[in-house]
Amino acid sequence: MERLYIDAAAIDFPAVSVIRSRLAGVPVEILDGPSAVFRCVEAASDPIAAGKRVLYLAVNRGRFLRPCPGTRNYHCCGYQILHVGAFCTMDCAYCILQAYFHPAVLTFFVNHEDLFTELSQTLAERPANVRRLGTGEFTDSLIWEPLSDLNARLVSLFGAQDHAALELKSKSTAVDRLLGLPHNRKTILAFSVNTGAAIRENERRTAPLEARLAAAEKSAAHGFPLAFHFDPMILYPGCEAEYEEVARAIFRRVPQDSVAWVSLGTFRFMPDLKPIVARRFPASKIPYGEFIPGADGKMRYYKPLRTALFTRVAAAIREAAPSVTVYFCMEDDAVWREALGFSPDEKGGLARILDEAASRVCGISI
Amino acid sequence: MILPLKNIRLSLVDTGDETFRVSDPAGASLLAESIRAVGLLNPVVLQENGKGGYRIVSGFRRIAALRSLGWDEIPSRVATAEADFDGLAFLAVSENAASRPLSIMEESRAVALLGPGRPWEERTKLAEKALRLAANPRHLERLESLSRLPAFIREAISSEAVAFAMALTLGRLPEDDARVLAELFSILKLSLSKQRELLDISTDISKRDEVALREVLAGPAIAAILEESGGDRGLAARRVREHLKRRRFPHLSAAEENFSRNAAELRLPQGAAWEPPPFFEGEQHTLSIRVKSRAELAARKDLVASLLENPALSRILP
Repeated sequence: MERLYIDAAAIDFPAVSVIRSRLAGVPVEILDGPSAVFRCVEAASDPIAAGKRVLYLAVNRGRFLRPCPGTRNYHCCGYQILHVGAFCTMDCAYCILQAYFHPAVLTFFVNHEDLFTELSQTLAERPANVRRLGTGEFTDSLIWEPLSDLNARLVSLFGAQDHAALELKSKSTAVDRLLGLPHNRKTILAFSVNTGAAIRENERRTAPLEARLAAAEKSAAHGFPLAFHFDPMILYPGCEAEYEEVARAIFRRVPQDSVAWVSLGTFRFMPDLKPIVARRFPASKIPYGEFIPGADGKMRYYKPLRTALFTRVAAAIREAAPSVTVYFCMEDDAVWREALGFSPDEKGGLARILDEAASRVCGISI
Repeated sequence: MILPLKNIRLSLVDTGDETFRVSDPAGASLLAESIRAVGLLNPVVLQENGKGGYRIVSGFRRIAALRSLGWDEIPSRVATAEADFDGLAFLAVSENAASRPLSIMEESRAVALLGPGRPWEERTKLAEKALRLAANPRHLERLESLSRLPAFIREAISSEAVAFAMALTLGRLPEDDARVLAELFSILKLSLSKQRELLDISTDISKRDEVALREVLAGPAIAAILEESGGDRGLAARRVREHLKRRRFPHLSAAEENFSRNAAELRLPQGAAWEPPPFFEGEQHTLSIRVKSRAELAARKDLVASLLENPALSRILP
């Protein structure tokens, strides 16, 4: 971390002093709003890399809970995003956040009392559409572990109720500080996985697959429910067998009854991302796959290609772990029927399928 | 700048010195016809070159025309060797801009002459005055950079085979790749959007297959297409684009070709069309029937029933 920027409005929040103490030695600058950070980042030769080397502590003046921005035409999981921060210290070629924020700056919201007030009120109301929440949409959930106690507080809060599950999604292995917490199986530790080749080519500063699986194994041993996200799956010659092997490797390490779900999603991206990947990851071939514009405006692999991959990997997961819920992130009925043999609508919808999986594995009441 | 008028022997003019050149080399023969008819109306501007001869400041095409007409001397305004470069450059640009609309390469050379090395804000003011155009510094900077591109790109601009934006793109490519593209664009005469599409698709193939762009574009397949198209640029352009698209999107292209074959077997009557989902992504197919009268509609009443009997339909809608 090269510099810590603190918004003047955030300076008195307790989380700031915790982070400052854990980043001792990092130069600090107090700012009145984000403009100066944005200018500094935009002036760098690689603004995206620059945005990962600074941390901006700010107050979230909007809502912390937001529905996942699914689109029509594809089945959405109905996940609720808990918006704790933005961007990431890891550097993945395919990361949509590179094109999503203008500019992308590592940001952490520090008004945690507001967050917990909003979250507690929502949980107390027990809305049917807020049974699965997670912090891993706009950032990696566990990169904040060395800096903040937010995850620990969240784990404890969810552990004290019985109708919603928190999903912490990561490509890291930073689970140690969470293991002894009273999670009551209401926090799912979720690991993004990929093949060794895809990780090497496209994921800078992430943990190797083996380390992620070791962290998952350790988490399961401490009673945490788990999830695995094969997302984004990258098509390349021979990838099918490698993804199948990843699936088998997972279930050699963790018991299937500890796994709430496994998601599969192939690489999809806003068209703006392509030149960014080409510039920042010149060795990566991911933008040059056989992509077509999807019904949501994002580029995605030509449907028969992704269906074929899904079919093989889903079969490998079912063979290794028949009881585990497998789902597709943002796919249509045809893909579901061909790769899994049913449409989510036949089982009450994808959100319902996942709520039931959370009920079964995490014990939430639905 | 007031310069004395003198008659200068043409043999003393160094036409190889293009320091102040703004004009494109072409156009001297038309000008020669004009001079033959009405004479030389304006003297050229020369500068002593310190070696007993003269460099041209303004009048490159007039001097070429006069040489072709066999003139020995030319009435000239003559600057000394010590004359201010910026003043002469301004004069050269102003005179060219006043005499005719400049081509893009002429504008580029003109901008390059105006205040080289000075801040772009300052140069923009000079350019606005000399070229009589409203400009912004970024545009002028890009415009000037054209004059530093390799000769084959500048020629492609002059022949209107590539536009300003594409020329800059070619200038950023390895020279061998740019040369192949410029040659292809010169043959196919594509619009800028089609050039961009061709470049994008070829670049994707090049990166995916780890081969140089020139290898994608100068392979035997494209050579054969150009040969077989027999000078029909429209046909050649379409077939080159189809070839590249098949290479870039092999599965999608195969599906499209397969669909076309099956759709042809449906033998749809005139005015009826079958559209698959865009890129075969969605599930919704569209059967459209255009009619002008009830009678035409009545004539189509058995169409759906006949389609359902057609074996090709089961390949389109399994």
